[in-house]
Amino acid sequence: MHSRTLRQREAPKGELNKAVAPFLSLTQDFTTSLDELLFDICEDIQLSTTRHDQAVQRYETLGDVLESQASPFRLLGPKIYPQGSMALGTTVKPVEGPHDLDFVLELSIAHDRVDPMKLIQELYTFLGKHAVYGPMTSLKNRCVRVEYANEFYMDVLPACRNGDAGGTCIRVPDRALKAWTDSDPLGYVRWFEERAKMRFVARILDKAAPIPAREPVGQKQTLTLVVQLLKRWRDRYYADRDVAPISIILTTLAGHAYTGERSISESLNLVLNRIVGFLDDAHRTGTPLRVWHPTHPAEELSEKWNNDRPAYEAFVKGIRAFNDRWSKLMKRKENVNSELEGLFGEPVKTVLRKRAEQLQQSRLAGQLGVSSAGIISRNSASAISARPNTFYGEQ
Amino acid sequence: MANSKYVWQRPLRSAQQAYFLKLTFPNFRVKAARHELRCVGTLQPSPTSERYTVEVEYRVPTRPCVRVIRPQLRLAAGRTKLPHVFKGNDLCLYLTGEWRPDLKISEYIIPWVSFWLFFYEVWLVTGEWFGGGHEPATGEK
Repeated sequence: MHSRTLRQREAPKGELNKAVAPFLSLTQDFTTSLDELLFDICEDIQLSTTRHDQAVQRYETLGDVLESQASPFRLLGPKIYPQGSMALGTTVKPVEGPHDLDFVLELSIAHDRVDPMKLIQELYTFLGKHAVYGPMTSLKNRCVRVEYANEFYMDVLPACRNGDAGGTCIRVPDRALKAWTDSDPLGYVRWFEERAKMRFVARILDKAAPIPAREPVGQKQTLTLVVQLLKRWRDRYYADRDVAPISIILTTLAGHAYTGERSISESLNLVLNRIVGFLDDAHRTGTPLRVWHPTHPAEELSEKWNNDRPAYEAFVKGIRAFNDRWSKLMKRKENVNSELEGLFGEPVKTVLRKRAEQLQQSRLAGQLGVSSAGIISRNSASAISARPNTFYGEQ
Repeated sequence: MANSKYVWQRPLRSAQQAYFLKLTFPNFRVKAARHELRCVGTLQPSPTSERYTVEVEYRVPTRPCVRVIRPQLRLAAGRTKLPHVFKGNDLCLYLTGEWRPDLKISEYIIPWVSFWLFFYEVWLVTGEWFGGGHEPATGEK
């Protein structure tokens, strides 16, 4: 198990006994316990430490290759950095297949001096001819994909500084449009961190800096966890349908809706409530909700919804249903385990198995008892210690 | 239970069992007659668990019969029966000798019900029983 600062802080000094299930703390109420379950679910769905370290290694190596003598980009000061979920710490294991990680290859040259189609083609040609990358490389609409089988997809977006907009704005070739499109991934990360009110040092997103160390969930900010849960719900709810809302829309809406609560289950409740509120407001005007890039408003994230009404309707229906289910769960009207499994799927089973195994171990070690309400807890907090027993009968 | 391989002390009387039950589980409603006892109370194995109303019927010195009254117990996907129950869905909580009529129901049986419920809630989602136990058909698990 990874170290968890939250739990370690709760445990009395010197009493961090691994044999005792860590979730059996003394002062538990519904929300705290639910939050602990959600922490564990998020830990299960995020990029594993091994994969994260691999990704760091892979992208640093790629950075070196792009700076090498043979590279056509070597004189353009190529900087490669993570964007999207990798930069935000909101990675979510896909229902099938490997994680999809996005990186920006930023050249320190203004976009108006570069032909966008030539740029992406040049990156593809260079990597495609490379001895190592060649067989793993494919060309996508806005990026060149390097596929590490069974590990992850590394999507590299070539980009130039946006000479008009300045700041951290960049422009990225779009092959379908045969033109530049706007983006500001660094600005987005700054905005998100501000919304999440990060209490620890802001991550440095320089070329020199490796990918931010993968944070154990215990150190993550609530908003990050809320976004992971939204994305996981999306992957499950819209499985096999191409109407699923894209991650950046969910992340942006969550960022706008979040108001700094600490509890993850309550935050999810409020965020869903407020998103439904945004949708109601849009409904009154008779148009789909429009979502803009928070630091680069020229970029309309919800562009697709303007022309694809079914996708928008599917989003509205889905988020309302999620909101209803989550409010019910918070009002304790449902079986929590079943509801969580219904919403988030397999990771919930993994978490429950792990917890049940831990609890059983502690029980066999004679460390558990129950309160007068029947709540299982450590002996010291119990009304009565549990005696050894053997559940009889067929399973 | 008369054929128990264990030697008993004198069985606790139903009034004594009732007294200890009320003492440890004040929310339980307990009714004791001369050799009988019936109690109903709620148990919630963890803060995120449902609250279960359970009923214990006991006739000194036989096996206490434990049932979950509310909510109705459900089956895991693909399963046709509950784990570790007798016919009629009384909970199978222990092997002969682990509880005896000279031992308190409050100290032994009721905590076991809480554990049963905890593992039931995990079984409901995973289809797997993590509470260990004995399976008559296949022997020790």
